[in-house]
Amino acid sequence: MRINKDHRGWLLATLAITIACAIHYHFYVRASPYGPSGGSWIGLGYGIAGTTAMLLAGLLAARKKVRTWRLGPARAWMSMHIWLGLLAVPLICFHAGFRLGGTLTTTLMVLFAVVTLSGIFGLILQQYLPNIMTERVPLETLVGQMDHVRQGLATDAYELVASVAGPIPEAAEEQARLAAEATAMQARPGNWKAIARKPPATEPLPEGALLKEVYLREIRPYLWRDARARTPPPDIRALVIRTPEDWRQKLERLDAICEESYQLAVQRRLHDVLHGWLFIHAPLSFALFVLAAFHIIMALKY
Amino acid sequence: MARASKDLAKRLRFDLWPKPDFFRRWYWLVGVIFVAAGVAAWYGLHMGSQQRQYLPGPVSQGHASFGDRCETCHEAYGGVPTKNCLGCHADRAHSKFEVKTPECASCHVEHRASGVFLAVSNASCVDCHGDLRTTRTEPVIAHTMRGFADHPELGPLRPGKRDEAAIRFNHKLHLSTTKIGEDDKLGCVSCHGIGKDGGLMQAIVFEQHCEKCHAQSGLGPDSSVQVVHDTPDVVREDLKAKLLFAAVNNPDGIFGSTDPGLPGRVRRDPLDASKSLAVFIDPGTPKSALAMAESKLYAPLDASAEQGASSLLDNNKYCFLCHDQDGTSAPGDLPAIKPTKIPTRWLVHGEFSHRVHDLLKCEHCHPDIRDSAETAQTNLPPKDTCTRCHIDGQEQSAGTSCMLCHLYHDTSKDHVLRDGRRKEISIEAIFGKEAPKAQKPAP
Repeated sequence: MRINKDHRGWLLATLAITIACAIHYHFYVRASPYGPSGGSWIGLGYGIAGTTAMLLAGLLAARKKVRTWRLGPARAWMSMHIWLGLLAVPLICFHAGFRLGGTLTTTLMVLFAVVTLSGIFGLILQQYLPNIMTERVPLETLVGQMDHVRQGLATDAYELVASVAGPIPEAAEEQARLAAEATAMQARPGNWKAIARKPPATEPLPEGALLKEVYLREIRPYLWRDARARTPPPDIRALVIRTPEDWRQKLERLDAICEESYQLAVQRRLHDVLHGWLFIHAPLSFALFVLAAFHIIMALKY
Repeated sequence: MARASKDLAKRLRFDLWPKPDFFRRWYWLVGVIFVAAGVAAWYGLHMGSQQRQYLPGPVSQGHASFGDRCETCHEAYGGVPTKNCLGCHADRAHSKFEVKTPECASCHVEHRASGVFLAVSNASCVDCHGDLRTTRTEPVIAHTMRGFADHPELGPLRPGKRDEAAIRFNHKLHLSTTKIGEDDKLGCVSCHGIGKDGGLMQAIVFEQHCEKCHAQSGLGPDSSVQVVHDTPDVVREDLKAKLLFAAVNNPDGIFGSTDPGLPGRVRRDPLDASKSLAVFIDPGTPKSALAMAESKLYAPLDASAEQGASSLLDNNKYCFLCHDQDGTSAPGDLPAIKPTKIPTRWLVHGEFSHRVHDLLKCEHCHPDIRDSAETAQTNLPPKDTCTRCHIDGQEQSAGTSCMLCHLYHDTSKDHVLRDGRRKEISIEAIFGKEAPKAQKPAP
């Protein structure tokens, strides 16, 4: 979520509460002969407030499970998650008296720190990565469709090369896709998604062999590489001067396909970064809640 | 490269439900795994260290043997009631005049850094002494004390107080006298030493500190008898025995005259004309050796000799140089000596330790001692002397904690309390299980 002027209210409220609590904590510490304690009434109050903030922030995960329920806009929930999560930090620190305590409480503080820091890390990523993605991946697509689009790109590349070089037996997957596509078109002749495909050349030109060789050696392996590979697209400019001039448009189209495949890989990696931190943030927050429950029960009991 | 929306849409498949990406598929599973790991970790800690994992901080050394059993001290949802402390510790009252006794846990806070448990904060003391209420009509100690700056003057130095000891002693005289050789010059440590407990000064012992110059000697017909420093009745018996001893050992010198028959011998009067040894030591016979010796011993202080130090000592060598007579006595009766009542401890409400202050020169705290000529002068340092080092509110201070000088649980004053309520607890009860076996030392 982008932090913009819409968050001003949340920011001011969080800052005001933090400053007020910090001032109160200062006087509380001065008045405590044995230092602040989580078990004192004031310490308990901070603990309850901090835990409530954490619970409300954690409700975002539940909210995402019932997206269709009318429980307020998602932006509001995300804002609450961010700012209450940040507010929980000083409240929990005041509750703990800036001490780690015993085994369980130290574990809790470590988990809390990791969850908070990973959340802040994710928030920072969300401020910059979308812009980076817009600049560097103009040819982006839906992440869930990425595999399908990549296969489509490979098919398009085969179609282009086969239209001048003839059928290429090594490209069996592409041939199968084209056959399936043709079958689907026959079943639904008026389908708006139908793509007019050029058939493979029956009398390939001599230069077609060169194109076929480059396709099999560089282009096809590149299009079928791992979705996250950092490999730059093959340079096929040398083909331009060695092939007929009227092939230039085809070659440019091939180059565009390779470029798009490259950008999809970039998009995939950026997507992984933008979502990967959640693998730390979300599961650890679950563990944090469970251990916090143990702490609350035992601390209140004794 | 510009792409039309339709061209883009042609590439996508909306007839299939999109497969959630890797993250969405695995979030919840990883979350469940982490939750299970958290529960497993808690369970493992619970089985291994029982309740130690819940400790908010270390347990003090004295409680470490049962630190993993919270219920020993804590009551479920009830804090730490004093009755749980009394399960091991004897009840230790502070004062029989206190209006309420605070809970043990209000001053002794556990689960802090080791050692801090015993360091009671001044605030706990100020809780009561900041506005002291007692069962007395009026408190006899200061009742608004919020810090060392509010501390009143030390008790023996307050207006109207004086040294009530019934003994004459002149510090100025003793520290400046020229009658003693350079090698034997008197200093503070000549008489004053720190007691075995390190706190109070040792009591002055006549035989150890005074006898060298003030020996009760020169008594008897031949001035050979020296008596002990004790009560008059003991001194009389000692004197009798020693006079007899002298008489038996030197009968000619004391009783007899020389044989006039030997040439060169000069007849001379005997030292004592007693007809018998019984008369010699008969206190009822005015001229007996015993009576003569006692008249010297108990000669009243010759006040006219107070002008000069040397004349005072020269004319008053015996008991009443330092002691006072208690009442009067009939002729022939032994006088009663007033009990000296020299305090062994001046600060009865404070625990002062000379050992801790050993590095300081005596004159640092007792600067006027060399000018002290009167017994009535208490010679204790005023509270201002303490505040030169014990400075409130400064880091560079010897400390102003109430506990530095004062005890809350002072069982030394209450033997019945200390002995009557002593508790005995088995090792099994402390450890809550089979007592740990003694470890063999490593080879």
